[in-house]
Amino acid sequence: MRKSYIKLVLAALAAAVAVAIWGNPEITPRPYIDLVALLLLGGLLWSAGNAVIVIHHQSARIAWKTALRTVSRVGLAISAGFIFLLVVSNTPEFSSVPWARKARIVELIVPLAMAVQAALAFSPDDEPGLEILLACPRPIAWVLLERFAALFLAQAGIALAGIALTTQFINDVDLPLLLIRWLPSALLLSGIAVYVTQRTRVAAFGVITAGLIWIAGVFYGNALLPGIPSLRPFSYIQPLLWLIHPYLEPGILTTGDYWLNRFCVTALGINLFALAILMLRDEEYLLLNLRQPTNHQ
Amino acid sequence: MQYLSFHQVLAITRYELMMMWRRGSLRIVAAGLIILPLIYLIAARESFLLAVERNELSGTPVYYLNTTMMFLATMPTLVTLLVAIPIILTEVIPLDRQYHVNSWLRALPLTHRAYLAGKVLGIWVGLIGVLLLACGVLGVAGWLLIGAFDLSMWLLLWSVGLLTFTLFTGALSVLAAAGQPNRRRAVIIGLLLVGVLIFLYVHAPIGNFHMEAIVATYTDITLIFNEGFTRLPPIITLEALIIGTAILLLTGLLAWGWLCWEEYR
Repeated sequence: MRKSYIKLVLAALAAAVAVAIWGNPEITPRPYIDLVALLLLGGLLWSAGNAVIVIHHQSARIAWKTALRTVSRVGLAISAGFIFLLVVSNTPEFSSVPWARKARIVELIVPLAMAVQAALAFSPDDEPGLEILLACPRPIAWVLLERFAALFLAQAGIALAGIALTTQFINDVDLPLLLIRWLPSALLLSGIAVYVTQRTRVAAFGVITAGLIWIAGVFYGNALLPGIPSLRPFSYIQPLLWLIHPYLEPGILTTGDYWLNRFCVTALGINLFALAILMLRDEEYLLLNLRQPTNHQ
Repeated sequence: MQYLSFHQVLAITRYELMMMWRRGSLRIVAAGLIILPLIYLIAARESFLLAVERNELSGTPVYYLNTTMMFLATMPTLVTLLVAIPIILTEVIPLDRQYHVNSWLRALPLTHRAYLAGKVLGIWVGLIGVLLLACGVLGVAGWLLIGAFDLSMWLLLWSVGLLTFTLFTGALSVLAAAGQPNRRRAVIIGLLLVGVLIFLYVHAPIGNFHMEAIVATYTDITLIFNEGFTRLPPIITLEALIIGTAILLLTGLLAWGWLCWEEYR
């Protein structure tokens, strides 16, 4: 609790210093945007560094067959089925529903399906034989990574098939954009789902959080765009929120800002995933839901 | 033949209520029911007050508009009702199986009917408490943020529109996943239920009152104020009660049959 207060005070101090240097974020948001992007980049580099060290020291092989067995066929079938039905359906282009534009269908379905499966991939309270898994020389985080890698590959396959199908139904195809646009939101929602699941130890909470953020992003995401009026004190952070809009469409902001948003969304997802992995290193917490009083040696 | 024991049902109800609180399910549902509409109220307040100030809303009295605004603010609760509740509450019975509590329960003179009734009642008591809290908090917040609105209509919307559908959703979630062996499988049933509940909300009378009340206030607020909700609730509520009870009884019967078969096996 004391640590949390110290962190809160430090954050408030940092915010006060930033305001003193750069001024009100409502008027000059750009330095704050750069700072947020740099912080996310720092987190990404730190996660990548840790991953390289772990892979270098880890001699265990990837258990692909076991990992693939944990990927729910039902989830994959539902994901593929929804994409197929929405792509072949005759929803008018001028309809207000987000899936009316066929280029967005893969981007809408795959991230949600992947997040749900990521939440269900590994939850400490529901894992049979957790004590035995923890007693093995293989790090427990490896299990989550393997399962996530397996479901990521499976969903990526469905996404590619969906994109191939989509290209048959739309005229002016921006293929590189179509191939990449589902990825940032998929990583963000999966990162949130995995993080919340590890934090609360319950897969259902991860599923719900990812679902709520999906709904908010798809239907109300444009409320995060700069210039939308909001109540104080939210108006101070409102000009920065577009950075984490999971479903920002190209053309609404400048090309540079669009790609900055895509980078921030991706980096946030990966950072949340890395934080979830860090939680798995605490065996006392994993097994008994007890926090260790001291830091790791 | 064993009959429903009132004391056994009460004991299971109390136990389930306590478990829901400890697991954090009730807190998550409460947070969803309060925070999402609150965000909507805060976000929409500025543009709403601006429109009222500029008299863009065709001269309708502000009191009426405030009521419409409060009705619209209950729309985000649907996310909790249709998405969060089924996913969270489907784990109630499978969790007993996962933790092997059902082995203990089987050793007791407890009928499956008492067990299921206790579970459903526990959920209902918890949900009623959470709904009362949300209705009160949102009412006060709305009064402070946008101004006076019609309290009787607000209470009618929550009691007839949201309460019935919430109780239906909660009970259906508990009973539909009664046969699942663990929490993970229960979550998948919960996800499937989300689709079923959205369909029922849109097409079955059980959810229609809430939606029709909102649409009616949005399209013709003055008419609604002149006539009250007299045109809407009696028929729809009766129909909703019949259909809702029939669905719950059928699901309950299936759940009871599954538990009996499982014991026999």
